[in-house]
Amino acid sequence: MAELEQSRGLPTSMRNGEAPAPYVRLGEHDNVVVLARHVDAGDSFAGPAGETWTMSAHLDVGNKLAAVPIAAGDRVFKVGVPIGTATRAIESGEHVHSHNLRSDHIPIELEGETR
Amino acid sequence: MSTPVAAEWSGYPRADGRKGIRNVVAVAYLVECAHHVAREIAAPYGDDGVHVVGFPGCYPNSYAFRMLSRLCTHPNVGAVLLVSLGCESLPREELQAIVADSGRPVQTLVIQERGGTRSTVAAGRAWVQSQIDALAGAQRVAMSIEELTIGTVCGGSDGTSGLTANPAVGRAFDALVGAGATCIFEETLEMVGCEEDLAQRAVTPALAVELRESVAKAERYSVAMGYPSFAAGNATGGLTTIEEKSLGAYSKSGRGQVHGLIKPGDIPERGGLFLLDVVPDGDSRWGFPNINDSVEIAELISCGAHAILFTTGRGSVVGSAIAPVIKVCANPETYAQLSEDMDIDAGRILDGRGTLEDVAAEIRGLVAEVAAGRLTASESLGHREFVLGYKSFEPIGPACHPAPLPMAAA
Repeated sequence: MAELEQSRGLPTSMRNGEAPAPYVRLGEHDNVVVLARHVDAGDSFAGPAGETWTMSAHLDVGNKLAAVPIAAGDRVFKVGVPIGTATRAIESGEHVHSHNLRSDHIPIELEGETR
Repeated sequence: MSTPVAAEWSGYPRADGRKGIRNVVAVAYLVECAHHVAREIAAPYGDDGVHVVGFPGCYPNSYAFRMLSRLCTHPNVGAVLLVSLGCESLPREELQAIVADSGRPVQTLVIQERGGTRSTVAAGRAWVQSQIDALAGAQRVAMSIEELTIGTVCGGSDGTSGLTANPAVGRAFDALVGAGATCIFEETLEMVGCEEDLAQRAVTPALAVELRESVAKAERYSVAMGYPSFAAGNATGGLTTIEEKSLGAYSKSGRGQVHGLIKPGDIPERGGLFLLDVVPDGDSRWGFPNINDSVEIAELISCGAHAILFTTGRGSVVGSAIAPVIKVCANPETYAQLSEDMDIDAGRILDGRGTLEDVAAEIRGLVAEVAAGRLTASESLGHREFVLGYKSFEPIGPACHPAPLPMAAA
């Protein structure tokens, strides 16, 4: 969990450009980024690889977006640590949450759906 | 590397050698049937440090008895009133003897022997008033950071908790332990996925085994309950899985060595960093181990915590009986909405108004100010939540509490 230590200098990525991205990438090899502020449907900004992402819905601060395309069955990494497995293919820039990510430890059922 | 943690303030000396940062009159109900009378006794003294604790159960439970014993002899407590209905199982004479042996004034009122509710409330208020008057002249002595115990808990976590407030508390913990304080983190139910990293921080190999097992026990318990420590609000806040929530929760413990594993009511005998195992031993009984954050806060206090660092993303407003709760708000949007309930704006890390180290330094400074008497937001708003239920624990083994300086640097 060495990356956890490094992530404490947050948010360096936000200080690099004139128009800071609304997200932070917590571990060098993470395949998700985390929103540092909320985004609205229609918001457009660059992903970590320079491609343009356009948001399809409002998302609150703390939500995750795929940093790269993620295949079904791939482990999802945040702060360099696995936080579950993708249940279907996820496009770069797509919201990563209970509809496409599931725990490798204890599945969670909230109001009938399995997370 | 950072501003020093404040040196010294004055505290309340106790016969067991510990010192308090508050001088509270505790009113303890010994069964739910006595709760109303206890609440009525305390009601007129909202601003005078009279706090209600208690146990609702009518049937015996050694964990609950130990919890009440520890809370009634907590260093922040100066006097204790026990309120009994009369026919409950909790052994009130034994509890009264424990409090009396600690050197504190103690009185027991039995409602069934006092003529009922009105008479007991009147007698209780008279006694509480006499104790408030007596405590006003209490002696205070110098108290230092080595004599301070701080607990940490998170509640209403969201995707920002693990980015701002939790690692900031972790840094503050590293500094507090470095200055000689005792720090306690907990919630093994939220360390699922972190057990290997945790084990590597143990001061002895035997403790590493115990730490790993405590998380495995929590995972087994969660599976038995059919549910991990994860609420709907966590998901709304962007957290998807228990291991993701754990990752954030775990960062409250900092990066230092872990010096021991304790269970509710165990009081660490020296400074250092301790994991509090809050998951019951044995078969899963009595439902969820922790029905809410207040259960865990009471358990941290039972281990001697003078104050609690409570990190929140969604925005919890709770405080606690007995010990002040310091709210560290992880989410800048939550802080803007709930600033009257928050003590520290850790979310400013996310929008560039401060660094992790700035927030950690602010936490350390506020801990010292609260120890010296400054009221936290939840204290000044009158929050004194308290929850205690049924659990069962086996005593900790010798491997959980290694002797000081057990391992030479390898």
